[in-house]
Amino acid sequence: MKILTLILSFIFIINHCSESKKIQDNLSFEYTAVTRGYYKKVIINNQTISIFKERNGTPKVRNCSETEWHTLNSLLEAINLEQVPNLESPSDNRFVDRAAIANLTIHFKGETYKTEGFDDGNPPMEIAELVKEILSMSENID
Amino acid sequence: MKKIIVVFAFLSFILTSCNNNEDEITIEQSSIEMIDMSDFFVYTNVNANESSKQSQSKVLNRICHTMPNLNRLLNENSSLEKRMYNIEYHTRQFIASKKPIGTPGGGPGGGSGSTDTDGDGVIDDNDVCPTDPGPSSNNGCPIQSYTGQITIPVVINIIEKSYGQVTEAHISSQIDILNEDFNNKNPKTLSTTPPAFADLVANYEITFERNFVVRKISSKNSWGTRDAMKSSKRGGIDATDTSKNLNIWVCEIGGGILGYAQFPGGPATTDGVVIGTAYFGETNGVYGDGRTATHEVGHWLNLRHIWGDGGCSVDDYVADTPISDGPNYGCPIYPSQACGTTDMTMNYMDYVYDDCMYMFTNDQNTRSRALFAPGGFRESFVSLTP
Repeated sequence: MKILTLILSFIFIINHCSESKKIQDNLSFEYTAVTRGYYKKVIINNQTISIFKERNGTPKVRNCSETEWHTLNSLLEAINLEQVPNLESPSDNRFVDRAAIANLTIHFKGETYKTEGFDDGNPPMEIAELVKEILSMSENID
Repeated sequence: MKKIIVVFAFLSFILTSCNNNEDEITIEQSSIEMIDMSDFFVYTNVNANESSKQSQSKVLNRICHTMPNLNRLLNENSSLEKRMYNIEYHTRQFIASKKPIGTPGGGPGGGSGSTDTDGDGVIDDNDVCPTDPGPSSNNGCPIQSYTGQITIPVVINIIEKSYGQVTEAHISSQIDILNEDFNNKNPKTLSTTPPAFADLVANYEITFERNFVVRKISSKNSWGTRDAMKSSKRGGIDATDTSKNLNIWVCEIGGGILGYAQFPGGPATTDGVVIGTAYFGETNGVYGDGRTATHEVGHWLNLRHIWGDGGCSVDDYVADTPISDGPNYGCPIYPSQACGTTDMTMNYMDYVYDDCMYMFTNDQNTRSRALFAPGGFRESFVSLTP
Protein backbone atom coordinates (compact mmCIF):
# COMPACT_ATOMS: atom_id res chain seq x y z
CA MET A 1 0.00 0.00 0.00
CA LYS A 2 2.76 2.35 1.00
CA ILE A 3 4.59 1.49 -2.17
CA LEU A 4 1.48 2.21 -4.20
CA THR A 5 1.11 5.62 -2.59
CA LEU A 6 4.73 6.33 -3.27
CA ILE A 7 4.43 5.32 -6.93
CA LEU A 8 1.22 7.30 -7.35
CA SER A 9 2.66 10.42 -5.81
CA PHE A 10 5.77 9.97 -7.93
CA ILE A 11 3.69 9.83 -11.10
CA PHE A 12 1.79 12.83 -9.88
CA ILE A 13 4.98 14.81 -9.37
CA ILE A 14 6.32 13.86 -12.78
CA ASN A 15 3.08 14.91 -14.43
CA HIS A 16 3.10 18.15 -12.54
CA CYS A 17 6.65 18.88 -13.65
CA SER A 18 5.93 18.27 -17.31
CA GLU A 19 2.86 20.44 -16.94
CA SER A 20 4.97 23.38 -15.78
CA LYS A 21 7.56 22.73 -18.47
CA LYS A 22 5.16 23.50 -21.26
CA ILE A 23 7.00 25.81 -23.62
CA GLN A 24 5.67 29.32 -23.73
CA ASP A 25 8.02 30.85 -26.25
CA ASN A 26 5.94 33.89 -27.05
CA LEU A 27 7.15 35.86 -24.02
CA SER A 28 10.58 36.63 -22.58
CA PHE A 29 12.29 39.41 -20.68
CA GLU A 30 15.81 40.74 -21.05
CA TYR A 31 17.49 43.26 -18.77
CA THR A 32 20.98 44.59 -19.42
CA ALA A 33 23.16 46.94 -17.36
CA VAL A 34 26.45 47.81 -19.02
CA THR A 35 29.17 50.36 -18.49
CA ARG A 36 32.92 50.60 -18.89
CA GLY A 37 34.23 47.59 -16.99
CA TYR A 38 30.84 46.17 -16.05
CA TYR A 39 28.42 43.80 -17.72
CA LYS A 40 25.19 42.22 -16.56
CA LYS A 41 22.46 40.60 -18.60
CA VAL A 42 19.42 38.74 -17.33
CA ILE A 43 17.18 36.70 -19.60
CA ILE A 44 13.98 35.18 -18.25
CA ASN A 45 11.50 32.97 -20.02
CA ASN A 46 8.89 30.68 -18.54
CA GLN A 47 11.46 27.94 -18.01
CA THR A 48 14.73 29.53 -17.00
CA ILE A 49 16.43 32.55 -15.52
CA SER A 50 19.87 33.17 -17.03
CA ILE A 51 22.39 35.67 -15.83
CA PHE A 52 25.49 36.71 -17.81
CA LYS A 53 28.28 38.52 -15.96
CA GLU A 54 30.56 38.78 -18.97
CA ARG A 55 30.02 39.71 -22.57
CA ASN A 56 30.06 36.45 -24.57
CA GLY A 57 30.38 34.57 -21.29
CA THR A 58 28.44 31.50 -20.21
CA PRO A 59 25.39 32.21 -18.09
CA LYS A 60 24.42 30.90 -14.70
CA VAL A 61 21.01 29.33 -15.08
CA ARG A 62 18.24 28.20 -12.78
CA ASN A 63 14.62 27.23 -13.23
CA CYS A 64 11.91 29.83 -13.30
CA SER A 65 9.16 28.73 -10.95
CA GLU A 66 5.51 29.02 -11.87
CA THR A 67 4.94 31.52 -9.11
CA GLU A 68 7.73 33.71 -10.39
CA TRP A 69 6.45 33.48 -13.93
CA HIS A 70 2.94 34.41 -12.83
CA THR A 71 4.31 37.41 -10.97
CA LEU A 72 6.10 38.64 -14.08
CA ASN A 73 3.00 38.08 -16.19
CA SER A 74 0.79 40.05 -13.85
CA LEU A 75 3.31 42.90 -13.71
CA LEU A 76 3.42 42.88 -17.50
CA GLU A 77 -0.33 43.37 -17.68
CA ALA A 78 0.04 46.80 -16.10
CA ILE A 79 2.44 47.93 -18.82
CA ASN A 80 1.45 49.51 -22.12
CA LEU A 81 3.89 47.70 -24.40
CA GLU A 82 3.52 50.16 -27.26
CA GLN A 83 4.78 52.91 -24.96
CA VAL A 84 7.87 51.01 -23.78
CA PRO A 85 10.22 52.54 -26.42
CA ASN A 86 9.04 56.04 -25.42
CA LEU A 87 9.51 55.79 -21.66
CA GLU A 88 11.64 58.57 -20.23
CA SER A 89 14.53 57.96 -17.93
CA PRO A 90 13.96 59.73 -14.59
CA SER A 91 17.68 60.42 -14.11
CA ASP A 92 20.78 60.65 -16.27
CA ASN A 93 23.63 59.60 -14.02
CA ARG A 94 24.96 57.34 -16.78
CA PHE A 95 25.98 60.47 -18.76
CA VAL A 96 28.88 60.92 -16.33
CA ASP A 97 29.42 57.21 -15.57
CA ARG A 98 27.65 57.35 -12.22
CA ALA A 99 25.36 54.50 -13.27
CA ALA A 100 25.48 51.67 -15.76
CA ILE A 101 23.37 52.03 -18.91
CA ALA A 102 20.29 49.86 -18.46
CA ASN A 103 17.82 48.53 -21.04
CA LEU A 104 14.72 46.40 -20.73
CA THR A 105 13.57 44.36 -23.70
CA ILE A 106 10.30 42.47 -23.77
CA HIS A 107 9.70 39.91 -26.50
CA PHE A 108 5.98 39.28 -26.78
CA LYS A 109 4.06 37.47 -29.53
CA GLY A 110 6.77 37.98 -32.12
CA GLU A 111 7.22 41.68 -31.35
CA THR A 112 10.16 43.28 -29.56
CA TYR A 113 9.64 46.20 -27.19
CA LYS A 114 12.86 47.84 -26.06
CA THR A 115 13.35 50.85 -23.82
CA GLU A 116 15.80 53.65 -24.43
CA GLY A 117 18.77 53.59 -22.07
CA PHE A 118 18.12 54.48 -18.43
CA ASP A 119 20.17 54.49 -15.22
CA ASP A 120 20.71 51.04 -13.71
CA GLY A 121 18.95 51.22 -10.36
CA ASN A 122 16.46 53.92 -11.34
CA PRO A 123 14.13 52.73 -14.14
CA PRO A 124 11.17 54.69 -15.54
CA MET A 125 8.34 54.31 -13.03
CA GLU A 126 6.07 52.54 -15.54
CA ILE A 127 8.41 49.52 -15.57
CA ALA A 128 9.92 49.94 -12.10
CA GLU A 129 8.06 47.06 -10.46
CA LEU A 130 8.81 44.66 -13.30
CA VAL A 131 12.50 45.57 -13.34
CA LYS A 132 12.67 45.18 -9.57
CA GLU A 133 11.19 41.69 -9.83
CA ILE A 134 13.53 40.67 -12.65
CA LEU A 135 16.54 41.85 -10.67
CA SER A 136 15.51 40.18 -7.45
CA MET A 137 14.90 36.92 -9.31
CA SER A 138 18.39 37.13 -10.80
CA GLU A 139 19.97 37.77 -7.41
CA ASN A 140 18.97 34.40 -5.98
CA ILE A 141 20.85 32.55 -8.64
CA ASP A 142 24.20 31.78 -6.99
CA MET B 1 0.09 58.20 -4.04
CA LYS B 2 3.81 58.24 -4.55
CA LYS B 3 3.32 57.86 -8.28
CA ILE B 4 0.97 60.82 -8.38
CA ILE B 5 3.49 62.96 -6.55
CA VAL B 6 6.21 61.92 -8.92
CA VAL B 7 4.06 62.64 -11.98
CA PHE B 8 3.12 66.02 -10.54
CA ALA B 9 6.67 66.85 -9.67
CA PHE B 10 7.82 65.81 -13.11
CA LEU B 11 5.16 67.94 -14.81
CA SER B 12 6.00 71.01 -12.81
CA PHE B 13 9.65 70.33 -13.51
CA ILE B 14 8.99 70.28 -17.24
CA LEU B 15 6.82 73.39 -17.04
CA THR B 16 9.51 75.35 -15.22
CA SER B 17 12.09 74.23 -17.70
CA CYS B 18 9.91 75.42 -20.58
CA ASN B 19 9.59 78.81 -18.94
CA ASN B 20 13.30 79.04 -18.53
CA ASN B 21 13.81 78.27 -22.17
CA GLU B 22 11.38 80.97 -23.22
CA ASP B 23 13.29 83.53 -21.21
CA GLU B 24 16.45 82.50 -22.90
CA ILE B 25 14.97 82.65 -26.36
CA THR B 26 14.04 86.30 -25.82
CA ILE B 27 17.64 87.11 -25.00
CA GLU B 28 18.78 85.00 -27.88
CA GLN B 29 16.86 86.96 -30.50
CA SER B 30 18.44 90.24 -29.51
CA SER B 31 21.97 88.90 -29.75
CA ILE B 32 24.04 88.83 -32.88
CA GLU B 33 24.49 85.13 -33.37
CA MET B 34 21.38 83.03 -33.45
CA ILE B 35 22.23 80.18 -31.15
CA ASP B 36 20.19 77.09 -31.83
CA MET B 37 19.48 75.37 -28.54
CA SER B 38 16.67 73.16 -29.78
CA ASP B 39 18.60 69.91 -29.50
CA PHE B 40 19.90 70.59 -26.01
CA PHE B 41 18.10 68.57 -23.43
CA VAL B 42 18.65 69.22 -19.81
CA TYR B 43 19.73 66.44 -17.63
CA THR B 44 20.74 66.25 -14.03
CA ASN B 45 23.75 64.59 -12.61
CA VAL B 46 22.79 64.94 -9.00
CA ASN B 47 21.87 61.73 -7.30
CA ALA B 48 18.87 59.98 -8.70
CA ASN B 49 15.56 60.43 -7.01
CA GLU B 50 16.33 58.67 -3.80
CA SER B 51 12.76 57.68 -3.14
CA SER B 52 12.62 55.50 -6.22
CA LYS B 53 15.89 53.75 -5.64
CA GLN B 54 15.03 50.09 -5.68
CA SER B 55 17.69 48.81 -3.42
CA GLN B 56 16.21 50.64 -0.46
CA SER B 57 14.42 48.26 1.76
CA LYS B 58 13.59 50.51 4.68
CA VAL B 59 10.06 51.14 3.59
CA LEU B 60 9.03 53.22 6.60
CA ASN B 61 12.07 55.38 6.33
CA ARG B 62 11.31 55.88 2.69
CA ILE B 63 7.77 57.08 3.20
CA CYS B 64 8.82 59.58 5.84
CA HIS B 65 11.48 61.11 3.68
CA THR B 66 9.79 61.12 0.31
CA MET B 67 8.29 64.61 0.35
CA PRO B 68 11.20 66.62 1.72
CA ASN B 69 13.60 64.70 -0.47
CA LEU B 70 11.59 65.34 -3.58
CA ASN B 71 11.27 69.05 -2.83
CA ARG B 72 14.94 69.35 -2.11
CA LEU B 73 15.86 67.60 -5.34
CA LEU B 74 13.45 69.66 -7.39
CA ASN B 75 14.83 72.90 -6.02
CA GLU B 76 18.32 71.71 -6.66
CA ASN B 77 17.47 70.48 -10.11
CA SER B 78 15.74 73.58 -11.44
CA SER B 79 18.66 75.82 -10.56
CA LEU B 80 21.13 73.20 -11.74
CA GLU B 81 19.20 72.87 -14.95
CA LYS B 82 19.28 76.65 -15.46
CA ARG B 83 23.02 76.79 -14.81
CA MET B 84 23.72 73.98 -17.24
CA TYR B 85 21.52 75.57 -19.87
CA ASN B 86 23.45 78.82 -19.49
CA ILE B 87 26.78 77.03 -19.75
CA GLU B 88 25.63 75.31 -22.93
CA TYR B 89 24.38 78.63 -24.33
CA HIS B 90 27.71 80.31 -23.57
CA THR B 91 29.56 77.37 -25.12
CA ARG B 92 27.60 77.67 -28.34
CA GLN B 93 28.10 81.43 -28.51
CA PHE B 94 31.80 80.82 -28.08
CA ILE B 95 31.91 78.16 -30.79
CA ALA B 96 29.84 80.36 -33.13
CA SER B 97 32.08 83.38 -32.59
CA LYS B 98 35.13 81.27 -33.39
CA LYS B 99 33.75 80.46 -36.80
CA PRO B 100 34.75 82.89 -39.56
CA ILE B 101 32.01 85.46 -40.09
CA GLY B 102 31.57 87.64 -43.14
CA THR B 103 34.37 88.05 -45.62
CA PRO B 104 37.86 86.79 -44.94
CA GLY B 105 39.82 89.53 -43.23
CA GLY B 106 37.17 90.09 -40.64
CA GLY B 107 34.77 92.67 -42.07
CA PRO B 108 31.39 93.19 -40.48
CA GLY B 109 28.48 91.25 -41.75
CA GLY B 110 27.53 87.68 -41.22
CA GLY B 111 25.54 88.31 -38.10
CA SER B 112 22.23 90.07 -38.36
CA GLY B 113 22.56 92.17 -35.21
CA SER B 114 23.84 95.69 -34.84
CA THR B 115 27.45 96.55 -34.09
CA ASP B 116 26.42 100.12 -33.42
CA THR B 117 27.09 99.69 -29.72
CA ASP B 118 26.95 103.39 -28.79
CA GLY B 119 23.68 103.82 -30.63
CA ASP B 120 24.66 106.89 -32.68
CA GLY B 121 23.42 105.35 -35.90
CA VAL B 122 26.87 104.92 -37.39
CA ILE B 123 29.22 102.00 -37.12
CA ASP B 124 32.55 103.69 -36.41
CA ASP B 125 35.56 103.53 -34.11
CA ASN B 126 33.45 104.81 -31.21
CA ASP B 127 31.69 101.48 -31.19
CA VAL B 128 33.16 98.76 -29.07
CA CYS B 129 33.81 96.15 -31.72
CA PRO B 130 33.06 97.77 -35.07
CA THR B 131 34.76 95.27 -37.32
CA ASP B 132 34.31 92.07 -35.44
CA PRO B 133 30.81 91.74 -34.05
CA GLY B 134 29.97 89.28 -31.34
CA PRO B 135 27.05 88.48 -29.05
CA SER B 136 25.36 91.33 -27.19
CA SER B 137 25.98 89.47 -23.94
CA ASN B 138 29.64 90.31 -24.50
CA ASN B 139 29.09 94.01 -25.39
CA GLY B 140 28.80 93.10 -29.04
CA CYS B 141 32.31 91.70 -29.15
CA PRO B 142 33.31 88.14 -29.96
CA ILE B 143 34.13 85.95 -27.00
CA GLN B 144 37.89 85.63 -26.97
CA SER B 145 39.29 82.27 -26.21
CA TYR B 146 41.95 81.81 -23.61
CA THR B 147 44.82 80.75 -25.82
CA GLY B 148 47.92 78.85 -24.89
CA GLN B 149 48.74 76.53 -22.06
CA ILE B 150 46.38 76.25 -19.11
CA THR B 151 47.68 74.97 -15.81
CA ILE B 152 45.26 73.11 -13.57
CA PRO B 153 46.32 72.50 -9.97
CA VAL B 154 45.21 69.05 -8.82
CA VAL B 155 44.22 68.09 -5.29
CA ILE B 156 44.20 64.33 -4.77
CA ASN B 157 41.88 63.14 -2.01
CA ILE B 158 42.75 59.55 -1.15
CA ILE B 159 40.57 57.36 1.03
CA GLU B 160 42.47 54.12 1.63
CA LYS B 161 42.40 51.05 3.86
CA SER B 162 45.91 51.59 5.18
CA TYR B 163 48.29 54.49 4.89
CA GLY B 164 50.17 54.42 1.59
CA GLN B 165 47.94 51.85 -0.11
CA VAL B 166 47.75 54.36 -2.94
CA THR B 167 51.43 54.89 -3.63
CA GLU B 168 53.47 57.86 -4.78
CA ALA B 169 53.99 55.94 -8.02
CA HIS B 170 50.22 55.75 -8.55
CA ILE B 171 49.90 59.49 -8.01
CA SER B 172 52.77 60.58 -10.21
CA SER B 173 51.90 58.15 -13.00
CA GLN B 174 48.32 59.43 -12.99
CA ILE B 175 49.48 63.05 -13.32
CA ASP B 176 51.85 61.97 -16.11
CA ILE B 177 49.08 60.17 -18.00
CA LEU B 178 46.78 63.19 -17.79
CA ASN B 179 49.57 65.42 -19.08
CA GLU B 180 50.29 63.01 -21.91
CA ASP B 181 46.68 62.78 -23.00
CA PHE B 182 45.85 66.49 -22.69
CA ASN B 183 49.00 67.57 -24.55
CA ASN B 184 48.77 65.14 -27.47
CA LYS B 185 51.73 63.14 -26.22
CA ASN B 186 50.10 59.74 -26.03
CA PRO B 187 52.51 57.65 -28.15
CA LYS B 188 49.62 55.65 -29.62
CA THR B 189 48.10 58.76 -31.21
CA LEU B 190 50.92 59.08 -33.71
CA SER B 191 51.40 55.37 -34.33
CA THR B 192 47.81 54.20 -34.52
CA THR B 193 45.34 56.98 -35.48
CA PRO B 194 43.60 56.02 -38.75
CA PRO B 195 44.29 58.55 -41.56
CA ALA B 196 40.60 59.46 -41.66
CA PHE B 197 40.85 60.89 -38.13
CA ALA B 198 44.46 62.12 -38.13
CA ASP B 199 43.56 65.74 -38.98
CA LEU B 200 41.08 65.90 -36.12
CA VAL B 201 43.52 65.12 -33.32
CA ALA B 202 43.60 67.94 -30.75
CA ASN B 203 46.21 69.24 -28.39
CA TYR B 204 44.30 70.46 -25.34
CA GLU B 205 47.37 72.28 -23.99
CA ILE B 206 46.37 71.65 -20.40
CA THR B 207 49.04 70.96 -17.79
CA PHE B 208 47.98 69.17 -14.63
CA GLU B 209 50.12 70.12 -11.68
CA ARG B 210 50.06 68.26 -8.41
CA ASN B 211 49.02 70.72 -5.73
CA PHE B 212 48.74 68.48 -2.68
CA VAL B 213 47.51 65.10 -1.47
CA VAL B 214 44.99 64.52 1.33
CA ARG B 215 44.84 61.05 2.85
CA LYS B 216 42.25 59.44 5.05
CA ILE B 217 42.00 55.88 6.36
CA SER B 218 38.69 54.06 6.02
CA SER B 219 37.71 50.42 5.91
CA LYS B 220 34.63 51.15 3.80
CA ASN B 221 34.43 48.80 0.81
CA SER B 222 31.95 50.62 -1.33
CA TRP B 223 31.53 54.41 -1.40
CA GLY B 224 28.91 54.33 -4.12
CA THR B 225 28.18 57.13 -6.58
CA ARG B 226 26.30 59.55 -4.33
CA ASP B 227 29.26 61.73 -3.43
CA ALA B 228 29.74 60.43 0.14
CA MET B 229 33.51 60.45 -0.45
CA LYS B 230 33.32 64.20 -1.03
CA SER B 231 31.92 65.01 2.40
CA SER B 232 33.74 64.82 5.72
CA LYS B 233 30.36 64.56 7.44
CA ARG B 234 29.78 61.32 5.56
CA GLY B 235 33.25 59.99 6.27
CA GLY B 236 34.92 61.34 3.17
CA ILE B 237 37.17 64.30 2.40
CA ASP B 238 35.78 67.77 1.68
CA ALA B 239 36.79 69.35 -1.63
CA THR B 240 39.52 71.99 -1.77
CA ASP B 241 38.50 75.25 -3.53
CA THR B 242 36.96 73.81 -6.68
CA SER B 243 37.21 77.16 -8.49
CA LYS B 244 41.01 76.85 -8.49
CA ASN B 245 41.64 73.10 -8.26
CA LEU B 246 40.67 69.92 -9.99
CA ASN B 247 39.72 67.64 -7.11
CA ILE B 248 40.28 63.92 -7.65
CA TRP B 249 38.89 61.49 -5.08
CA VAL B 250 40.43 58.03 -5.01
CA CYS B 251 38.42 55.38 -3.17
CA GLU B 252 36.60 52.06 -3.53
CA ILE B 253 33.46 52.99 -5.49
CA GLY B 254 31.90 49.54 -5.89
CA GLY B 255 29.00 48.42 -8.08
CA GLY B 256 31.25 47.89 -11.07
CA ILE B 257 31.85 51.63 -11.52
CA LEU B 258 35.46 52.51 -12.48
CA GLY B 259 35.06 56.24 -11.99
CA TYR B 260 32.56 59.06 -12.36
CA ALA B 261 32.43 62.79 -12.92
CA GLN B 262 30.23 65.85 -12.57
CA PHE B 263 29.51 68.18 -15.47
CA PRO B 264 30.34 71.89 -15.17
CA GLY B 265 27.40 73.63 -13.50
CA GLY B 266 26.94 71.13 -10.68
CA PRO B 267 27.37 72.03 -7.00
CA ALA B 268 30.79 73.53 -6.20
CA THR B 269 31.24 71.30 -3.15
CA THR B 270 31.15 68.14 -5.26
CA ASP B 271 32.93 69.43 -8.38
CA GLY B 272 35.65 67.04 -9.55
CA VAL B 273 36.12 63.41 -10.49
CA VAL B 274 36.13 60.13 -8.57
CA ILE B 275 38.40 57.25 -9.54
CA GLY B 276 38.24 53.72 -8.18
CA THR B 277 41.44 52.75 -6.34
CA ALA B 278 42.31 49.97 -8.77
CA TYR B 279 42.07 52.30 -11.77
CA PHE B 280 44.04 55.28 -10.45
CA GLY B 281 47.37 55.78 -12.19
CA GLU B 282 49.44 52.96 -13.61
CA THR B 283 48.05 49.72 -12.15
CA ASN B 284 47.27 46.55 -14.07
CA GLY B 285 44.62 45.03 -16.30
CA VAL B 286 42.78 46.51 -19.26
CA TYR B 287 41.77 49.55 -17.21
CA GLY B 288 45.17 49.91 -15.59
CA ASP B 289 46.67 52.71 -17.65
CA GLY B 290 45.07 55.64 -15.87
CA ARG B 291 42.67 56.57 -18.67
CA THR B 292 39.58 56.35 -16.49
CA ALA B 293 40.82 59.71 -15.16
CA THR B 294 41.34 61.05 -18.70
CA HIS B 295 37.74 60.12 -19.56
CA GLU B 296 36.32 61.60 -16.35
CA VAL B 297 38.33 64.81 -16.68
CA GLY B 298 36.87 64.99 -20.20
CA HIS B 299 33.41 65.16 -18.56
CA TRP B 300 34.75 67.72 -16.08
CA LEU B 301 35.72 69.75 -19.14
CA ASN B 302 32.11 69.55 -20.41
CA LEU B 303 32.51 66.67 -22.86
CA ARG B 304 29.74 64.20 -23.32
CA HIS B 305 30.14 60.59 -24.32
CA ILE B 306 31.07 60.38 -27.97
CA TRP B 307 27.84 58.57 -28.87
CA GLY B 308 25.79 61.37 -27.25
CA ASP B 309 24.15 59.02 -24.71
CA GLY B 310 21.38 58.16 -27.14
CA GLY B 311 20.54 56.77 -30.57
CA CYS B 312 21.73 57.97 -33.99
CA SER B 313 19.70 61.16 -33.68
CA VAL B 314 21.31 62.23 -30.40
CA ASP B 315 24.52 64.22 -30.72
CA ASP B 316 27.42 64.82 -28.36
CA TYR B 317 27.31 68.53 -29.33
CA VAL B 318 30.66 68.16 -31.04
CA ALA B 319 30.67 68.72 -34.81
CA ASP B 320 33.72 66.71 -35.85
CA THR B 321 32.94 63.46 -34.04
CA PRO B 322 30.95 60.85 -36.01
CA ILE B 323 27.35 60.12 -35.04
CA SER B 324 26.94 56.87 -33.15
CA ASP B 325 24.21 55.04 -31.27
CA GLY B 326 26.09 53.52 -28.38
CA PRO B 327 29.41 52.90 -26.69
CA ASN B 328 32.16 50.66 -28.01
CA TYR B 329 33.80 48.22 -25.63
CA GLY B 330 37.01 46.23 -25.53
CA CYS B 331 39.49 47.05 -28.25
CA PRO B 332 37.56 47.40 -31.52
CA ILE B 333 39.20 46.63 -34.82
CA TYR B 334 39.03 49.64 -37.16
CA PRO B 335 36.70 50.39 -38.83
CA SER B 336 33.56 49.73 -36.80
CA GLN B 337 30.40 51.19 -38.22
CA ALA B 338 27.35 52.70 -36.56
CA CYS B 339 24.63 55.00 -37.91
CA GLY B 340 26.21 54.78 -41.37
CA THR B 341 29.55 56.25 -40.29
CA THR B 342 32.79 54.90 -38.89
CA ASP B 343 32.92 55.20 -35.12
CA MET B 344 35.83 57.03 -33.53
CA THR B 345 36.31 54.23 -31.03
CA MET B 346 39.76 55.54 -30.04
CA ASN B 347 38.28 58.75 -28.63
CA TYR B 348 38.85 59.19 -24.90
CA MET B 349 35.10 59.68 -24.49
CA ASP B 350 34.20 56.18 -25.71
CA TYR B 351 34.11 53.08 -23.43
CA VAL B 352 37.04 51.08 -24.80
CA TYR B 353 40.06 49.70 -22.89
CA ASP B 354 42.62 52.22 -21.63
CA ASP B 355 45.19 51.19 -24.19
CA CYS B 356 42.74 51.54 -27.08
CA MET B 357 41.76 55.20 -26.55
CA TYR B 358 44.16 57.89 -27.66
CA MET B 359 42.55 61.05 -29.01
CA PHE B 360 40.37 64.10 -28.44
CA THR B 361 39.16 66.08 -31.47
CA ASN B 362 39.60 69.77 -32.28
CA ASP B 363 35.93 70.48 -31.75
CA GLN B 364 35.97 68.71 -28.41
CA ASN B 365 38.86 70.98 -27.50
CA THR B 366 36.91 74.09 -28.59
CA ARG B 367 33.95 72.98 -26.49
CA SER B 368 36.17 72.58 -23.44
CA ARG B 369 38.03 75.85 -24.10
CA ALA B 370 34.73 77.73 -23.90
CA LEU B 371 34.82 77.03 -20.17
CA PHE B 372 37.96 79.16 -19.81
CA ALA B 373 36.75 82.07 -21.98
CA PRO B 374 35.30 85.20 -20.31
CA GLY B 375 32.02 84.20 -18.70
CA GLY B 376 32.94 80.52 -18.90
CA PHE B 377 32.29 78.21 -15.95
CA ARG B 378 35.99 77.52 -15.32
CA GLU B 379 37.22 81.03 -16.10
CA SER B 380 38.50 81.27 -12.51
CA PHE B 381 41.31 78.85 -13.39
CA VAL B 382 42.87 81.34 -15.81
CA SER B 383 41.89 84.69 -14.31
CA LEU B 384 44.67 86.64 -12.65
CA THR B 385 42.54 87.89 -9.77
CA PRO B 386 43.02 85.77 -6.66
